[in-house]
Amino acid sequence: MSTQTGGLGFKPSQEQVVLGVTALLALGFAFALPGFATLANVLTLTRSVAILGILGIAMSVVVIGRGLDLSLVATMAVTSAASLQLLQHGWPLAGAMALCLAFAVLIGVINGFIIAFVEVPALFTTLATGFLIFGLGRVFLLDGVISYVPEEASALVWLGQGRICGLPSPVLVLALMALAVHFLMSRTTLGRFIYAHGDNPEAARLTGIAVRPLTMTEYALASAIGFVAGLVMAASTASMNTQVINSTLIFDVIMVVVLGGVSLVGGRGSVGGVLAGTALIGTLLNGMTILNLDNNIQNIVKGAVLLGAILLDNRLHPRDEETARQGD
Amino acid sequence: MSKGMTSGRRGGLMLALLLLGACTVPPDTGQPVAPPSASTPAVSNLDFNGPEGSNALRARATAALKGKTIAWVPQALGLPLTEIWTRVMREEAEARGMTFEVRDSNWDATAGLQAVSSLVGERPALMVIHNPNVQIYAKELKRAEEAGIPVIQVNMVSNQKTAAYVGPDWHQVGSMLGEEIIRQCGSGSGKSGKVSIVQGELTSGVSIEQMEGLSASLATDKAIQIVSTQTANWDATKAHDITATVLQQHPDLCATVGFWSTMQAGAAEAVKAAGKQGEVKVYASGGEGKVDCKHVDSGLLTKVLSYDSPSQAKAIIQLASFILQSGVPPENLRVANYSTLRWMEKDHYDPALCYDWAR
Amino acid sequence: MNTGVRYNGALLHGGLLRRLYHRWSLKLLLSELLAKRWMEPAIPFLLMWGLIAYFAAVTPNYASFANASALGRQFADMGFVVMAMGLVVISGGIDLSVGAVFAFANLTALMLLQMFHLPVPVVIVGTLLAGGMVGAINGYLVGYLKSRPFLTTLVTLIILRAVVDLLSQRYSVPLAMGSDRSWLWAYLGRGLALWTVPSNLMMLAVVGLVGHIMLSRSRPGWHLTALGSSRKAARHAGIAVERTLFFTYVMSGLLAAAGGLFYAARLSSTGSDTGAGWEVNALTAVVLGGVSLSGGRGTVARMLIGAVIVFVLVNGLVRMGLPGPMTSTALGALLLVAVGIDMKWAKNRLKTIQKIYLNPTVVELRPAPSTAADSGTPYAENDRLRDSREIGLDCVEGPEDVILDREDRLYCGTRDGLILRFSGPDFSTREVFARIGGRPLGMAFDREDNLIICVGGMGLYGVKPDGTVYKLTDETNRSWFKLNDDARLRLADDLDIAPDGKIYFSEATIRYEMHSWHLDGMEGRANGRMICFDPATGKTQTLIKDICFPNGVCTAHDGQSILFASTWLCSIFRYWIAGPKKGQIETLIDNLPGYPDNINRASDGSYWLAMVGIRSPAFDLAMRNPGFRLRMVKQVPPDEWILPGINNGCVVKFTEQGEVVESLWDPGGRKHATLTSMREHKGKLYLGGLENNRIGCIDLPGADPDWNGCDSYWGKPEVARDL
Repeated sequence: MSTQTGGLGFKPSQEQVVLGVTALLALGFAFALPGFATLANVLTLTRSVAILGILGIAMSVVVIGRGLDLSLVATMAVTSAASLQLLQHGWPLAGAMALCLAFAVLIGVINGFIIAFVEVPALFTTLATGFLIFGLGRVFLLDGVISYVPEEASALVWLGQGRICGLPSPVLVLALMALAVHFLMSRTTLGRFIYAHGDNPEAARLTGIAVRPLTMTEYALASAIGFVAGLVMAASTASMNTQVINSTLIFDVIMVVVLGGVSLVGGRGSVGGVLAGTALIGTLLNGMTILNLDNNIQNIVKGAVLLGAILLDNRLHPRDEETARQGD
Repeated sequence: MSKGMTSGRRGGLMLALLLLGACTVPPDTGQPVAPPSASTPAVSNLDFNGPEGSNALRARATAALKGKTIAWVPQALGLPLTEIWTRVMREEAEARGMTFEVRDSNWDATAGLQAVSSLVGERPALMVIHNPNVQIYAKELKRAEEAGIPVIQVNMVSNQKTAAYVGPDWHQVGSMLGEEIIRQCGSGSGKSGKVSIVQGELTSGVSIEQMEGLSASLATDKAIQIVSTQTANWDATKAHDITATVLQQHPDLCATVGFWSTMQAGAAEAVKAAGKQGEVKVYASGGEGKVDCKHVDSGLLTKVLSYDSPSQAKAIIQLASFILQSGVPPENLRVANYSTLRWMEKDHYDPALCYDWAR
Repeated sequence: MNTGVRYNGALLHGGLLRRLYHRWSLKLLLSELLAKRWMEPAIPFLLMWGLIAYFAAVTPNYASFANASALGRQFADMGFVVMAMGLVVISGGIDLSVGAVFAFANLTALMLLQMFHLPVPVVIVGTLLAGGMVGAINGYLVGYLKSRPFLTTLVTLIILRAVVDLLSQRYSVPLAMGSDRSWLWAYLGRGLALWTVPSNLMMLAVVGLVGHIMLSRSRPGWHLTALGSSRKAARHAGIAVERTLFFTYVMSGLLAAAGGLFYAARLSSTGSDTGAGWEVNALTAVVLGGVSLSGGRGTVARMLIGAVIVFVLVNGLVRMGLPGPMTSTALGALLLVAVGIDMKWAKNRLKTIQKIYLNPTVVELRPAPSTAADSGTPYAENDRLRDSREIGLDCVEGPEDVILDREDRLYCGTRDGLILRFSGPDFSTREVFARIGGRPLGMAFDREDNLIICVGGMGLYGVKPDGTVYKLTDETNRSWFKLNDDARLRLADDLDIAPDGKIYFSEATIRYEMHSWHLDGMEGRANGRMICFDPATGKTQTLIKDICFPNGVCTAHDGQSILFASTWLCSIFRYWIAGPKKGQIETLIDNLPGYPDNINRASDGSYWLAMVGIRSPAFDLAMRNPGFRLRMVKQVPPDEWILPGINNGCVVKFTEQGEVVESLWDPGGRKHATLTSMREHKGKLYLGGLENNRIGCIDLPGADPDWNGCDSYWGKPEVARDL
């Protein structure tokens, strides 16, 4: 893993470094481990991290805008569980999906409102709304910790467990989401504005960008994509376990995002970076699985790799810690 | 362990008989007794009013139970198992004139400890405890006993034993699961013999004892190979991830067994996702009522060893009623009521096990 | 000590309630309360007590000693973790691994004790070492490798959790079944310190106290706070940034490990959910308590207040039997509301104080005696000051007071903190005699010819004949029942020296500063005091409190009393310092037609009084209506306010008995507006003005041509030496 740039004359971006590391790892595993370099294995690999990737994309929209959404997992779990609940009560599929999507967007708008208008920092706001969503959802909307997909809604289950031309559907959803968000961020005005907002909010405001509605849009987008991720997760196990909110999934999402070069300072990074981060995590986990490593040892290795990536990023993109802000 | 089991079983049987007797007091017919006279023989054999009379019996029972509080601390509400327990216990308790209170700590062991600790200060008549692990409530349970509060532990037991325990004999559960696995995957079955065990919280009594029984049982067959004993900490998503990994590592897996059916449903989904439903046998123990029935019907879970949670709940309240009426100090009681275990498999289970708590 | 002289008793008429309402203003109390530093964490503090009171009312048996003890024991572990997080947050970082370190320490302690059977002291040291090592790793990464704290500690969290899970799975059975027999271990878990306090709570209190002292009063603590405040400035100031960061994280690790140690001793339990989510709880607690997330602000007390709030809330809600998710909801809602209010409070506290600080009160004066030129009273306007000669025209800025020494040299203070001396036959030689700073106001010579000066904004200073400046005093005794810290001298105005050398001086107001004295005029409250400084002992003592803008001070000719002026009450008072009436105050003159400033001796046994402004019916009316003044101050720009008529110059002479005999005017204040002092010296009267650009001098026909102030006070030099 070389950081010398002398001979090459260009500084590799973090995304490229991550891709490079992934490639190296993949090559290493392919040589050392039987069964790694098969199509079936590659599909399993991508399938297992698809949900993480979709969540990473959702988070990246917000992080590029210099925000942070710690309530993403809570939104995801509660909205998708609520949609399952509605299906159980006999609602039509489209209706239930639409209503819960609207609900997710509403949560995002509220997040954005508090951050933009009440000016509470994003870290606290989303931390608090995460608690609120989980609590209110469990008390008022859901009938228990786990919601199950009813028999009639087998179409939904396809989303998690189906295949098209051999590609597992979560991977398809990931690919679609990535394309859509990439198009949004790089080719539309809204995307440009989000980048501007993250890079320098004050300048963005001064040039006339409606910064506050933009904030609300960012969080609404993130929540909506999170809802989709929740649907995929619910479909793949035919149930949504709201206990996932208490797990470290949210931290894994942030890891994937930052790993992929979407820095928490905002204004830089892209969907490709998120996919690179996801690929790295997926390759790593898959290889370790084939190596028969214990789940916990896998976590330790994951943590160590991430630490290495962070330190590498620090080297490549030194940040001025004297003027850096909290949450970097 | 076996010694205690048999004597406990005997004790349980005696208790059951006692209770049976207690519950069959003939009702008061309300008809006046004809005073003995020269023409009618003295036939009254039902003494209503003496110290041994039915009224006195009723009065004593009522005094012991009416208005008394039973406090219930589950590990978390919202699970089929705990919802069934709560609902049935509440019905039974309130039918006897008792008050029923719940303290929900929602998986937070520290909050649960605080709840138990504060309950000891509030002095309910009886406490029903569901221990997250064998150690955490131990000192508080001791304190409760010293304060004279009887404690009934359900399913998840603590190192500190108290007046009563209601739950399966987990060792036996493990053995039964092991025997079933040997039957399906052991020598002579033509399968690979590979078994994956999905444990619960490793420091909980349920997991420790089931594991003991299961390992002992599986060890009797050389063909059985345990390829994974990872823990999913009662979380279905983790069980799913673990099993998916194991299936990748061992595509010829024969069976996977989990210590709680709700958790094991996640593992079953991984099996289904790998297209191996029916090929890989999925076993679990549980008391999830209609959810278990649904899973078994759909073939998701191959077989579930059910401990009939509604009956457990009734047993708890019956025991509570006995303890409160008898007035025996809790530290003199160490009673176990082992739940009856019944297999559930597709088209082959007792519909009474499909309790719907949301009804 | 006297507390009289608030309002002229004889002037009460009508509206007693209204008077009382303005006198004992609640808003004033509130404004002074808000300005206090310890009010900043007011909201979390109130919230904490509010929650405790609520739960005590709702839950049976809550407010009992046994319950408090049990709660305290359960709280202490969390308290340690919150302290760990709080320290790092103050230093400008964040430590998300505190919960994982807690669980790791718990596991380590149990493993060392139950598997390796080490003695308890070794277990304690080993556990703390384990936590310290994790902290050191964090500190190295963040401090020396300059990695981002958020992400780095996140990774530490993930790795540690995995390690804890791994080890507890591998050794779950021996860990679950072990038991302890050591008395020390039992004491850590169950013991009581001082017969009543749980041992871990006591340890938390001790550590908290040490932490507080370290943070607020020791160099490492200041460095830590400075780092959080501005890392750049800290580095420029020479603070070892990396080392300080490193030790901050090490301390965080140690504290979290201490929490884990007590938890292990108390429960001997380990599970995969030990300490899960505690980092979020700790962050919530820290934020709720008011420790700023951007670093540099916060105290140990605030952290612990936040921790108590979170703990009491979760505990109380569980006890009330609410479903678990409701606790989550309540915590989230509380966090949002508290952070929102706290941010608004911090932003608006000073604004609020500003809005409610000014509290005008009723000042009721009798109709002023006429100053019309043809009124025939001693106050009749004339133009005797019109022909004054100028000294130092355009060479002085605001000579508030003027004084002359035995060598006929003229001294005055200026706006820029200098003491100028004019010498020569026409006072044409101007030199800077001394540089003091502040705003020099009243002056007097003492027995040794030192020039003693009241410096507004600084205190009481002296200048030796060679020009050396020295400080006499800048603080007095703090009054016990005032929120306002009035130990410091804000506006020492005028002074005079008694025959025994004691210096009596006035402090015009304790609520306003030198630059805002006119607001005190708008208020009209009795905010000033008379203070005495004794050079022999160096002690300063407040003699009379609650005077309405005491200004000029003059020792009576017989040295038995001190005369002082109350500017807004337009009165002169006499305070006896010797004789049978010692300590009493009596009114000498009241209802002057103007606002008295400095008082100085005249050569014929009477006194000169400068009037800084002249009363007008409009302003008198305004002073009777505090509501009007308040609205005016809030709604009208300052240059449009109604003010006392300070564009007049007037000097008044009154006798020992308080009878005004003559007055000298500069109508319209052409040469001497805002006339604040006059000094008689060898038959001439020298005039000084607060805003003037000159010193005036007029002849006094009929005055003693050899009279000077120093001799009047201390006698002729030869005579003095003979004594």
